[in-house]
Amino acid sequence: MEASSAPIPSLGSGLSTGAAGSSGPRVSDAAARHAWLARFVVRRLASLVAVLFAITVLTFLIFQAIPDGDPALRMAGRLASPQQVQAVRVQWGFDKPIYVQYLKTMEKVLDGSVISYSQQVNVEQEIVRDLPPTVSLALGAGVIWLVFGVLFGLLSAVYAGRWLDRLLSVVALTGISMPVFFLGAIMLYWLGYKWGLLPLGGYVPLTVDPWGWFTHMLMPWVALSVVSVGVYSRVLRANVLDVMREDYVRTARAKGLSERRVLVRHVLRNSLMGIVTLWGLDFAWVIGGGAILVESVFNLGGVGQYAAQSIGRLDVPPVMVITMLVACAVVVLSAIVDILYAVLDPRVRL
Amino acid sequence: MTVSGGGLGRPEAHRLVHEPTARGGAVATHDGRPLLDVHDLSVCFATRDGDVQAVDGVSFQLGGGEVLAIVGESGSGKSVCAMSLMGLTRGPNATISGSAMFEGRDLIGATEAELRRIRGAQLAMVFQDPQSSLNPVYRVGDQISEQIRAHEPFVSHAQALARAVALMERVGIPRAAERVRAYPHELSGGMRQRVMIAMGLSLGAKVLLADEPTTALDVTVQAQILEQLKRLREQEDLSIVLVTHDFGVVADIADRIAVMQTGKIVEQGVAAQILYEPKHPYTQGLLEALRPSKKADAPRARGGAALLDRQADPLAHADGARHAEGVEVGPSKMADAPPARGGALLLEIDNLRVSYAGRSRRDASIDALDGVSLTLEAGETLAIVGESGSGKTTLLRSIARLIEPADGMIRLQGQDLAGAPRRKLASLRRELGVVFQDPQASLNPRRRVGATLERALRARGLGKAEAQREVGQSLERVGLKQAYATRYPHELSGGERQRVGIARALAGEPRLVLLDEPVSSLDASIRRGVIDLLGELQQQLGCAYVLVSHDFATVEALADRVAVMHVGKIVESGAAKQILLEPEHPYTQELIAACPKIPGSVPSSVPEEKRVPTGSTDRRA
Repeated sequence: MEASSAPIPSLGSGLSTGAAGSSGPRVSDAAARHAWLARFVVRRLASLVAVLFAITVLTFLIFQAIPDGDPALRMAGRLASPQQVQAVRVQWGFDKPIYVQYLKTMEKVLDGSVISYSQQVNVEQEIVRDLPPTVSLALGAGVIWLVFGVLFGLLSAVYAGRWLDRLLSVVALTGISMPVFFLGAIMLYWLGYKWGLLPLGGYVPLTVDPWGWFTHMLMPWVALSVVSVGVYSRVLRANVLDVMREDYVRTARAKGLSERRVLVRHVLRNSLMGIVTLWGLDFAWVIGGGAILVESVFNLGGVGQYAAQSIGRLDVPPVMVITMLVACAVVVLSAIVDILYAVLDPRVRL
Repeated sequence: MTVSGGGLGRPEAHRLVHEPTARGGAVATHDGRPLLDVHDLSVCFATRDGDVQAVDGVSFQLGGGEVLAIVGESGSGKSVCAMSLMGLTRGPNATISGSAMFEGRDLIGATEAELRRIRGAQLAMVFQDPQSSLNPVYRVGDQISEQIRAHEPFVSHAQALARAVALMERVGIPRAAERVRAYPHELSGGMRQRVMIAMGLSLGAKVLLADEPTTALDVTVQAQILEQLKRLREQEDLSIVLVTHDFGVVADIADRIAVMQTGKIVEQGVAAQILYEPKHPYTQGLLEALRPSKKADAPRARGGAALLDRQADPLAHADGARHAEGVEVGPSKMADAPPARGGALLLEIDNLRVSYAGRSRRDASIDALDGVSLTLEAGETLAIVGESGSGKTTLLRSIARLIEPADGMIRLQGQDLAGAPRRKLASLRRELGVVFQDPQASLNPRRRVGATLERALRARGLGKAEAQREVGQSLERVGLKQAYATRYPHELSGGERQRVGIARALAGEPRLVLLDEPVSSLDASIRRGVIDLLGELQQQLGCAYVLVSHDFATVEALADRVAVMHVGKIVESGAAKQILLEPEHPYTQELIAACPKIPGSVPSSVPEEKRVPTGSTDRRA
């Protein structure tokens, strides 16, 4: 569920559609295009800084507000005396005002020396260690849900109202309604335990054993994709049906093009905008550890699992860093999505 | 010789066509057979509300180099008819019968694969809105090349592009080599339609089906596109089926005309015969609707806005009586009434500027309104005319402060609108009513007509019960039954919807009503009724109108004064009669000259050599 439950900010807000009309031909020389791109990148970097600031402050404040959240108590141990607790508090700077604590933490985050409260290990090294499984998960699942979402959506739209469409609708809705932990458990039980076809969770690095990597990732990919394939195919079906009513599709038929060419070049290409937006956000979400459930069910040891554990221990530094990772991923991916928009539709200007 | 009409010697030909004419022979090509022979074409769509017979037994023929116009109002089946020939209406819900013989093959019975080879190659189609008919994401050259390569697979992309450039030059696109790389949104409407025509001709099509090819374009551009079609027909022997609702467009170009009503051809024949001796009452009604609704004194009949010339119309006298009747019902106000009636100054606009930001910071901003000044007295009607992009709608919207002016002053009854703080706007706007162009889009589809009006009435300060009582009255005022209050907008016809729109605008008893193209989305035959209603209501209520329109017939019927706008400026203004009959500014002259009309009514006051292009950037489009 997590892939689709991400709130979707409106990406379109930063874009403008070029005024169609009687304005003269636009000069689209390479120099002007590069200048646009440079301005675009600078704007996005500025917004990245703003987003990171806001989100870290918010995360920090949330942990201040959590009841029983005093890290010194936890760190000093269950049997610690008040003096020992106080000593930890002073040693870690928890006695300082909040803004000083925030600034100190951020300073350490930025120079890469931040360590977790609970295990006192370097957070950034932990995350770098956990990234490969998460990135593997995101890439594989992203390809699967994009390909199958588009395929099912297109088929659904072409056969709209007929049995194939109905069948795919039922499949899509089943997929959307299937909780990942349930699907994951079922798959592990049958495919992994009963039939022994696939390994029972864990992660094998691609560089060590490519085939092992593939077999270990297959179930997590499918489990994570099922929801998205359902959502994407529904979204694409609606978009395709809308585009099919456009006048230029009628023109394409009137030109004597084959139905396949009409469908792929004129209908599909113009239907992909919504999907591209969704895909960018979902992908960013998984990279940032959003697939907590899948990572945990299949014990991949990824960023999401680390986040889940850290939240359970009310361990602020890892949560801060992971939140920043999500924010970076979302901002970067939405910039890429915006560039893709401009590639897909020449009327869109960055 | 039974001619022009349906199949030579077929029984229905006799029924439809009454008079032999000299041009009838144009139907046949040299081998004696017509190029396109449509016989008993019927198209029926199955919908949720039952079967709709869109086209019902239509027969017509088209000869080489001939232009056949199919004229009818919306819903008459004329577009469906043209699209069925291309196989574009095929689908699970459509039943198509009859035959359409083209080059020895039946288009109706052809398989999809056969049809695909014909369409685009021998039979091409141009659609109404060139903006939406071109795919926005591909360069126009690539779209033309795609069509060439779909039919000639061994042509390389580069070769196809070279042919696209040549084609674009042929249809009058300047700098074609450069524009072949343009995206559709980078071209003007006229250029886009030329691209569509170039695409249609790219494989040497013999027949061009043009479905309302100029309806979405400005009048001056429309004139150029029609000129282009005429040239192609004369120089390249192209046959054209021109589908349109506008007799003015037809008059200039068609050899023969077929008039459609509810899926049937009610009358067809040689152009002059249909235009000047219409037999069928429906045709007569359509032509009647083109006549100006006011008493046509001699000078005005010569004027640009008069769409039919009395002298050229053999039925002028027979028509006269009926026409006069119409006038009694309609507004009796005349365009030549003195502009100043000594009324109180209602609206005053001084040096109004509105600018839109440029595309990037380096681009200069665009002045949509560039120092517009005008005044309006109580009870008076001012018409603002101009082409799209001239700023007329921007001006109207700034009066309602729907657009923030950059500079200048707007005073309504002495109160400043332009500078008023936002919270005061609601009370100031109470003196304003607005009638929008498209009543379908401007009425809430989920709200009953009564509820829409009740809300408007309550905005005036009436209580709930009082407002509900008033609803019936305001419906009757616009000529609708009280029972309409319980209907939803989709249950009304276009004309009725616009009447509701008018009722809503008048609910607050405004002193000033802004009319934004109030009849342009309506069929010609119901336009008249709405225009007359607007005139009557003005007489009753004494409100002033600011009318934005591109249609000179509407302007002539309603306006006391006319202001002509061009690129954000008022280039000429004065009494309606003066502007329409003796335009001084070359732009006004060109605008009036470009108005499609039935021949014989070209304004004699505009000498040919004075129709010079003005400063507009896209004159040739």
